[in-house]
Amino acid sequence: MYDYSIFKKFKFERKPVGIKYSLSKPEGIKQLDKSLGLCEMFKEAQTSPPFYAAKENVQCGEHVVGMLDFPPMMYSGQLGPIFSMFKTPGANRRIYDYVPILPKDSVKYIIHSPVDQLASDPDLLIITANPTQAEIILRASSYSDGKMWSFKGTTCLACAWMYAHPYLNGELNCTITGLGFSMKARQVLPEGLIIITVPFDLLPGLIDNLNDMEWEPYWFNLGREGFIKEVKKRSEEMAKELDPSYSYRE
Amino acid sequence: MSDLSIFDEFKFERKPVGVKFLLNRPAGLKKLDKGLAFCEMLGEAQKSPPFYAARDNFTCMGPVVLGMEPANPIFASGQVGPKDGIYKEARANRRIYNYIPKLAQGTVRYVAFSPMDELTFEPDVFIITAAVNQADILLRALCYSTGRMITTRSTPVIMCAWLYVYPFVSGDLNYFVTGLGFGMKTRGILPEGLMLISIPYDLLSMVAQNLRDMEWIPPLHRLSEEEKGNQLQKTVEELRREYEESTTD
Repeated sequence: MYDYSIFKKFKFERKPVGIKYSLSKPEGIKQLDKSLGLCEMFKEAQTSPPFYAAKENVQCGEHVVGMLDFPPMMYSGQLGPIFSMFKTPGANRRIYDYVPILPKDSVKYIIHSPVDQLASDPDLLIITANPTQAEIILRASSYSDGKMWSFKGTTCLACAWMYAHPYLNGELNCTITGLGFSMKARQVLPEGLIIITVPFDLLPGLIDNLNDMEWEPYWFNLGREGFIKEVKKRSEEMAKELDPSYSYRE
Repeated sequence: MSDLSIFDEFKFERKPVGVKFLLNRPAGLKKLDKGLAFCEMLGEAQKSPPFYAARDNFTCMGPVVLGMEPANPIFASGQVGPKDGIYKEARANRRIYNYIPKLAQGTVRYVAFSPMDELTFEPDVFIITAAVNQADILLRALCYSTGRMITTRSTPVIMCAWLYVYPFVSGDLNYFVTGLGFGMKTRGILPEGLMLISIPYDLLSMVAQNLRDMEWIPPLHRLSEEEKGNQLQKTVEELRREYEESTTD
């Protein structure tokens, strides 16, 4: 199992949560004793011991994890106009062509655990961060590979972009609380937090980068004028060292 | 001129700004009287009369993304990233220069900026600084009639490319949160946690029309917990009945 202790250093107000999908009933973990929307489960896990959810615990979002097919009235886009989410059923139905969902019946149990009580490497780690913390995590996500930050979502079914997209595509995804129709309606979290979902295959690299990099580069504390002056100075030094023709031009 | 008055209803704390990329000097606009980074010009335009910026007004990487000049080899080879603590190695940093959106060389010599209430030109990109609850409405409006996916792209550095150039060249709306983006953060351009939304010209009328058509705060966002449950159940029941009746017939 990887060492997730680096996440303690953030002192998150809400704990990161590991998610694991399973076909077999988890041992040594209690079943969730209530029914929640998928988007509410990671919040529940932030303040509870590890738990697993079976189909009967998933009040909404069960389609996204392959526990149920979308009913025709959803799939045909009927709900969108009624809920003021979309203008027409046509607009709403379009999303079902690209919203990521796990294959039908490929998941029977969803294990949630706060990061400090993980029993195994999770399939996903969902982090609830403020912008300062998110800046560090996102910088770490491209620190060693120069990857673009590319995030996806839709007006509704935010759970698909948190729980399915990163798992299926191996891409980190990010959203802001206050977007996402049902999450907003359910008031899952206060507005303005950044939710970052990291898939299993990106976690080791992210952890390495968090361990390696400077979290708060001194540039952040120079102020505007200090920053501009320092960029010029450092660039000139580099030009002198490499080739004077590379001199920094303002 | 497009009717953008619907955006007034948001009562934004900071004015939306229209931006236009120009080959020739714009008539009737004053030239910016100082040097600023491209990302700072947004803040400047929110509180000043319309202006245009020429090459000599830009500090930082703006001229590169605008196609006014090629990237300095020190930057393009990725040397700066590791020294600044943004990237681990030069090769990670240099990768971004392969995909950062840039305008074609020599195609832009001037950039015009105007707050929304003083626009005299059709903007190429319309940039809104919003609180999250305002952004929710704007992003919903983007998808309201189209069912589009909401996507966002950026990098830890050169945010100006994603704010100004990417929406213009791709036709996609882009957004990000203030507090991300190295240069913008170090310059302290805006407080953390605001949403910057850039709308390209070809989506602007559609977003404005959807804002006029749609309910900004839908019932499920304003009802009590109990009312929400009832409303949801009622809706689903109605639809189910319709569906079943139609099946029986």
